[in-house]
Amino acid sequence: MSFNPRYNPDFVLTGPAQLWVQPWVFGTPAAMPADTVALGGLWTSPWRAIGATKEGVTGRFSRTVQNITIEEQMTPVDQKTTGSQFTFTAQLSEDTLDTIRDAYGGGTITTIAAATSVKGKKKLVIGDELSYIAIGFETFATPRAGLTETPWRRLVIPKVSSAAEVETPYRRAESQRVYPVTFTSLVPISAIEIYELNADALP
Amino acid sequence: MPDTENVEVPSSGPVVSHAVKTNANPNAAENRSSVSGDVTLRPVYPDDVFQYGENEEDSITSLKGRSFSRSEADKILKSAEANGVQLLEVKPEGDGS
Repeated sequence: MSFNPRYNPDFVLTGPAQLWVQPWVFGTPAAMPADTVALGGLWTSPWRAIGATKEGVTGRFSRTVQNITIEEQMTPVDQKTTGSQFTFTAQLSEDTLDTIRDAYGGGTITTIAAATSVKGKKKLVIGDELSYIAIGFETFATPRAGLTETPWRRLVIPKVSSAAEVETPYRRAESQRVYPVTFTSLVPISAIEIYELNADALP
Repeated sequence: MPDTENVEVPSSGPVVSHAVKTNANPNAAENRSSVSGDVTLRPVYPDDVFQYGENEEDSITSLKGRSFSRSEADKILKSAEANGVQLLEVKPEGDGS
């Protein structure tokens, strides 16, 4: 005897994700782009696209729990959250000072535009302490009947830090330079809202 | 003493325009000495600096709160774009534009 479990193959998704970053500013939380911005569209400044990655973006959510047990039952009677962590990681592959700042956790960049007898140049001073940033995340969402545009799923984490072991290989031809980043949420889990485009606006 | 605290934030008002203009007036050089106008520019990252002229005084920082004429601002924004720098255009509170 066999049976076919119920399933919807259209809900099995693949596809890349896009990360956006902007500095965290006290009192001015980062905002989601307008709903009129299509998937893959430009999130206007101060958002900045994180750029190329070697192996895409990886999101991780973990929750550690404490089992509540009683002598009379072999399985827990309850579980309570003792901690949680929400991170996004990537191996940034656009070798720019912006990328290095993102990966190293903060710093300041001074840009001098070229002028008469003055060569244009940039200077990055890595911050002694972590700087906070906000990240935006965008990817495909589950398709919906009648939706005329590509469905998106978006979230913004208004305050994250970037701290990781950043190892960058400098090879002639073996691989490109990469800057691994780990963005860790610093806001309560309940402050993160995940949105999906579900239906067109009514006329 | 009321139980309140005043906290200053880098932004002097809402960010109302982000696009880097590309239609800079080629004759904007005549406005080069202008440092007072309707358009205030600041870097996206509060501590960043963008030096658009030959002198250190010709710099955009968050703290200086420099304002420019429209044509001068467009020229600086174009230069910033060419140098891979994001500048924000900030207008005063109550500006309905």
